[in-house]
Amino acid sequence: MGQLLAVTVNGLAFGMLLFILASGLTLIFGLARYVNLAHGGVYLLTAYLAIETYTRTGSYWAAAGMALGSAAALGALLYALFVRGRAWLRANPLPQVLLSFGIIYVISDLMQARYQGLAQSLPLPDLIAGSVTVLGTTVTEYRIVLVAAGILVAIFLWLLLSRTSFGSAVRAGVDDHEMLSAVGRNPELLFAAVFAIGFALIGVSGLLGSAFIGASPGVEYTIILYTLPIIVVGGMGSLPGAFFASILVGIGDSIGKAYFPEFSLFLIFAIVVLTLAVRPEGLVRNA
Amino acid sequence: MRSRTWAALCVSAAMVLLAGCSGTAGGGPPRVDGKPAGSEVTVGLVAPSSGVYGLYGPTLGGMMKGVFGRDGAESGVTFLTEDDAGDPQTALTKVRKLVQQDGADVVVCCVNGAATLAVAPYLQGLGIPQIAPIPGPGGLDKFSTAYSVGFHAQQLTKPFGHYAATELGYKNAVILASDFVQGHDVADGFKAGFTAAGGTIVKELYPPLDTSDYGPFLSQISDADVVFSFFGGADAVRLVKQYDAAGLKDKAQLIGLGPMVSRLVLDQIGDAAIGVQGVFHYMESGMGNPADEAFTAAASAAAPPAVTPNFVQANAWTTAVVIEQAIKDSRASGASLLKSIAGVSVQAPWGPFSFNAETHYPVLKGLLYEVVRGPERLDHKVLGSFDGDQ
Amino acid sequence: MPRRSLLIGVVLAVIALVLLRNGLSPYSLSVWSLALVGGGLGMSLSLLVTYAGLPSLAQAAFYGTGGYAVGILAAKHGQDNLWIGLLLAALVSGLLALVLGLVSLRTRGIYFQIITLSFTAMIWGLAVKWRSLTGGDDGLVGIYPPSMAPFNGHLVTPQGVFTFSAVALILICLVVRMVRNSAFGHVLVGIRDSESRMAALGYRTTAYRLGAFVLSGMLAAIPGALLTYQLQFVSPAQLNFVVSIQALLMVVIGAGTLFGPALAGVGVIWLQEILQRHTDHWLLVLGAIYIAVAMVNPPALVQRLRTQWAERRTAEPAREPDLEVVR
Repeated sequence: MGQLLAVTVNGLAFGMLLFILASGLTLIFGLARYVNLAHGGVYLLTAYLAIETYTRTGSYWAAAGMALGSAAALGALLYALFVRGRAWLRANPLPQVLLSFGIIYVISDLMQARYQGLAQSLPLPDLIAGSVTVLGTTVTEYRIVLVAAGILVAIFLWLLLSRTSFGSAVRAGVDDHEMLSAVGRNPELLFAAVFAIGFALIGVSGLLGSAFIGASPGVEYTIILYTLPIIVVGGMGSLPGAFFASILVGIGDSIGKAYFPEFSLFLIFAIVVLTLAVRPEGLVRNA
Repeated sequence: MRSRTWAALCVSAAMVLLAGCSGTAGGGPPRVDGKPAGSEVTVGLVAPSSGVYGLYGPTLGGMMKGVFGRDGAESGVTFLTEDDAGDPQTALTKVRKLVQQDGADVVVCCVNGAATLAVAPYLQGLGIPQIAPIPGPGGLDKFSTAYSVGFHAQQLTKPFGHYAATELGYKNAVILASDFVQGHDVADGFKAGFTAAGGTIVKELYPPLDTSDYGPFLSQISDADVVFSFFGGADAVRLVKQYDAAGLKDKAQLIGLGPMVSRLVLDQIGDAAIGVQGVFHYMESGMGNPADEAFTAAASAAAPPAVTPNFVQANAWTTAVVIEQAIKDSRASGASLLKSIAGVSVQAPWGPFSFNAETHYPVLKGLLYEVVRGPERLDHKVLGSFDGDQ
Repeated sequence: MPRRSLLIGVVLAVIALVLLRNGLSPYSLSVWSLALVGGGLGMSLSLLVTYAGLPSLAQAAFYGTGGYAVGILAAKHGQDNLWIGLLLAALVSGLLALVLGLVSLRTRGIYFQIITLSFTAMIWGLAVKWRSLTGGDDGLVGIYPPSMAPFNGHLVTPQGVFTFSAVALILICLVVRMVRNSAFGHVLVGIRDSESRMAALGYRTTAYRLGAFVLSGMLAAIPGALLTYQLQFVSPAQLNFVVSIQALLMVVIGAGTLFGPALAGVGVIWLQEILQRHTDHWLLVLGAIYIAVAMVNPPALVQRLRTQWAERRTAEPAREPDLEVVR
């Protein structure tokens, strides 16, 4: 029983990390109908940068700033270069996926050049580097930090989207783009902001993940492998869907690895297939 | 409509007949012959410079180039490198290019075990010697032209299993290894040796490659005094850090195959690695022999100091020295390059090196060492040694 | 393409084939053989993307399954007949396509794309885990050149392999053309342009799309099997989703023309080969090419050009065609 609890908490923590990553994707897709499959590459970039910044400055705050800042800047840049003014790109799956993978390859090559393929990991501050024993099971403190972070991000996004005028503009824009300009909002600025925030969320996951998953070549593709089930099961534009799907995938992966290690990856995709067989649009209908 | 169908059929039939002309005699496994080393010898290296194993290519290439280019090296040796991105298909294409276009006389390949096995039949068919530089898959003795400077897993882990039960006195072991062919190889060897010497395997855990969260596995470790492990690269960094964070270092001794605590990852693991032990053919903190000193000096000149010296460099250096010596022997005696490689005897950074003529793998001595805090950085300290298997 | 030009085209292709076969070095021929297989992959996907409007990323699953089918049969069961191998590869892939299609064809557009991508990842994971069947990460060796019975000999020399791969590509192109010009193909294009209209006319649209999916899967198995025979090796790399992305690149560069994807496929493989010869940063250049192709979006460009050309010929503005996926 104690072990099941440990496995579940561990899975929840991993799931929350994935949620933070997937939330960025979901936000961007929900508004701009743009599927950013390059999130794996952006994760790798921000994780490496966070580790390098920490190694050079010794400051976690600097690392955090670098991770979020570079991600947001990258998001805004990608928007300005490739998405702005190109309505044809929206909801057009073929060029989007080629664009995404082109970006991944570019990032992959640059990371290889700079870090020579060495695996790197962010050292944890002593405060959260140990483990605690709760209800008879031992859980590492960092896992608890991850769970808390995921919940905080979820709350932040919920507040942002439902309680701010920015949020209502985003939600309006999801339904009807022309209405935005009619109501006096600058749609381009809004889109750019959403891209920046979406990418910044990937940056958060890069920062948090750098101490957990680490940064190494190949991660950019493994990330895609884990977020695909979340996107499919959660429904592509839905944040609540992404939240629940992330928990499902995280815990499913954890339980799979603990009790059926031969089939762990397959188990996750079996969840995908089951969902598709029953509800092709995903568990939660797209907002 | 009918004429169009006829036309289509005729064209297709013609095509198929033409395709039939593609056949030539000769299927099945091909044969061998070997030539001696001439005045010009081309050595080809196929290793990844991109992708997951992307750090190996430049490391291997840099070290080998240094050996072939140093003062007093054999003359007339051309050294070429190709990037296989860690992918067997690409490795095959690059090996073909090296052999067909660049006239390679000996090919060093590969880093990815699957690639090593994939190119072996092709090179055997042409009689071109193949040398695998780092520890990898077993079964190379099937190919008359394939030799390995790196040992194959069971050569080392089986006698270590025996050593662990008898000399070190461990009774109950948990096996924790990456779920891929090499991981299982390593584990099977240890299992065989350990149980034959009276030890008990309490549990076997095989996390998939690229697992980020080892929690589900670590939480299953109990009732054991030793955890025998195999992880490499990013997996090693994560596993050792998480093992320490879970407070398991006090409960069971973690011993892993060399790459798990290699200098390549030691800095990133940090203090979590202190007290963890490694089993390997080479200890990366100075073996105290002249060959090691020469090698370390060469490596330090070429590579980032934080990860130098490491076993990839050591194996690369040894591979180049083996080839050079074989070329020298072949030129002197007129024997084929392949035979000279098989019979070579050189000084490696870890001691005397030669191949076992039957198995095509090295004659091996195993080392057990522990990670300690050295004067400037984390170091290894040798605790014991044992003989490797065939 | 009218029949006479097609015949001329095929004759020219055969002449080019003979010239190349006799003129090039064995190494160049082996690269050409890889490139021709790439062309086959691109053509098989074009059936789905260009004519059925289905942005599928599952092609690697069928391509790789074809490769594994012949690989497993050869390495584990000693099946060494080329024709039987190809047939079984196509059948197994077709079956897989049927199963995957039934689940994924309930969705459209981007959802369909993501779901097919997930399936490719799943099949890849299966190949990696099922070590007893597939050899896992290490793949399968011991796949010897197949016998071409009832014809003489084996498929083993670089010239022979090249010829066969070229012929296979030409045949795949002809099959795609035949499908496009058939009644089935016309219904497919109709469904691509407006599914609701075709459904209203009484067509069972899902059945047609499933048919296209299965056919495309079977076609992809042929180049996949040929690749395994060429390399005498098969591994999960053939099933990796980046292969699906590469196939999509070929189709998009092929710009919605009939044989464009075949040429693009050959070109993409050669491009990668040449890039790797000249620079260590070939991945960077390749990424830039992907981005450039995405931005230029050849199918839309070609469609625009065609519309303009049609306008010029009829001297009156053409109606904006219904653009769905192939914009």
